[in-house]
Amino acid sequence: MKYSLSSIACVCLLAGCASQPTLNNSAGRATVYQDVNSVSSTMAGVGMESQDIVSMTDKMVRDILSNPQIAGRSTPARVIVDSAYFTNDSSSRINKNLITDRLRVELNRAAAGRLVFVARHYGSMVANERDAKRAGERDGGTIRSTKAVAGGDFRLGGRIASMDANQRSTGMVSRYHQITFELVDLEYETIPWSGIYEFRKEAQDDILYR
Amino acid sequence: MTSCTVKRCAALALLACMASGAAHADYAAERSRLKSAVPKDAVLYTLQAGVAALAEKQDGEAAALFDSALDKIEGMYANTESAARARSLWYEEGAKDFKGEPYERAMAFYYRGLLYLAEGDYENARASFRGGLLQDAFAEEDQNRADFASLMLLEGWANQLNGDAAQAADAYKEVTALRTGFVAPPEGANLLIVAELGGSPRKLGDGIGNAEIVYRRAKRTPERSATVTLDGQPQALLPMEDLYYQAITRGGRPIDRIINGKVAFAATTAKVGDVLGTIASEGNVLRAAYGGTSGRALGGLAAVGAIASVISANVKPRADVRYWNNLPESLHIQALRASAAPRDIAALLKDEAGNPVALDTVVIRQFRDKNGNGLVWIKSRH
Repeated sequence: MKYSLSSIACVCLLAGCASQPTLNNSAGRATVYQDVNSVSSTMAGVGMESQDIVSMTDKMVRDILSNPQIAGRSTPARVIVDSAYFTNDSSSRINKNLITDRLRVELNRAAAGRLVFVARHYGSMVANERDAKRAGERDGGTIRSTKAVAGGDFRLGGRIASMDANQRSTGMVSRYHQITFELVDLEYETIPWSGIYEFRKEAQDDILYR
Repeated sequence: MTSCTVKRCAALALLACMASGAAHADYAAERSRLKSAVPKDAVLYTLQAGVAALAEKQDGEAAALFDSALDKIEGMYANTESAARARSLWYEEGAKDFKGEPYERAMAFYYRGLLYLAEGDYENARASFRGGLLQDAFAEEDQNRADFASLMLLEGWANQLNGDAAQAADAYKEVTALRTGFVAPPEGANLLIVAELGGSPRKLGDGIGNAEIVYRRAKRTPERSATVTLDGQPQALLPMEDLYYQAITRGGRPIDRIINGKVAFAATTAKVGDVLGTIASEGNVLRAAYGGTSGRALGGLAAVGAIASVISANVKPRADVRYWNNLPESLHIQALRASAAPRDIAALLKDEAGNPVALDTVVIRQFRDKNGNGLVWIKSRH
């Protein structure tokens, strides 16, 4: 009798263990602010992520501001920083504006007047307003009027490139990213400043997905 | 993307003609399935909803859906609860979060790439097609690795539109090695036609406890080739991909060894249960006949045997046979130079023997990106 009872208990226990969940009844999770410099604990791959963008733009800001040809001129240089000539030649899908916008904003903030940023990406907005002012649809505003909009001295160019590798036996995936940044002299076609940021990520997916 | 036209075809004419009208794809139903899906199936229903959204001109939503699915597909699952469960004896492989087999993952990148092409974002289109090719790099046999010619062609096309002629040439060279008769798109080509024919490869469970996946072609989808007529000018499409072939040439999966282990464990424990049950039963008969004091020991054996049998019965070796059900069976592609956006597009579908196939489910959409380059997307079933 003693064995029979224990058997029944074991059988019930095992039957319970084997049942499949059909409903996710978790209580959910409240919104939590995550540090943009940290790696996601729940989802991370070998592509470019927030911490990479923050690190690379911070490094480029420091580098550009330490270059006397760009940031040490008596008359602040006019710089165009946008994604028009910043190409993605990698296997990572990315919104390039995330990089160039952060670079421009941080550079503008840290330069504190040592550089002047030309808003070429707002060109149509400015043109519309200027046209309306000159046509008399709007008054002249309070700043000033200029014959033309600002011409640039330097413009950002660059490329995101990557190289992938994988090992079938282990499911290990590796991606090397190389991001080059260059400021091009818009008169003389030279490159007074270049910067490079590179990183390689490796990850191994669960055996279930290999 | 300036123009999109969805069209259903008149069955009698055997042609899919561009016209206004709702597509047959039921995006609302797919979205509803997605909303009620358990988390482990979310990616599967997201992908299916993405295709339905594309067929119904919901391009923004389609892009968001594919982005969401690709975030999961590209994310590395290490030490997750669902994965641990799927590896255990007591849960079938389908307990894991769905990410699809490599051909399905590659197709997720393919659709996202097409949507980028439609927007004129050639760089991200190229990245998407490259991402898809990487998913094809895990086939067991060398010759079947990275043989997804359609993605190579599309990568080349994205390069060509982006002005990267050298990279385009490299990609086309790889396609030429894989597809005889392929001719690289001419310089100045500005229109890409992509036709998706047939139904999705099906996954079925086979073997003991359905522990193996076998693939079958979709049933009752006879269309095998397509000719597209642009303003009355016929254009033959090149057969570039057979997804069923991609599915069956993936080779063995590492997880199959774990599943085989589950099968072996179930068989062994079942045998142990049988043997112990038999010993206990026959021992009881002998004890009744000759007398003795072995009753407790025999009872113990019977109990252990029963436990072993229960364990065996509860082992779940079933392989994951969930599959992306609105994928096509084959892809047919052609790139050409068009002086203007075609106003009248029709598709003639044919079966293996060259006989016309009448369908009323054909979707034809035309996209024109910000640079004036066109994409015609045709799907025979959705």
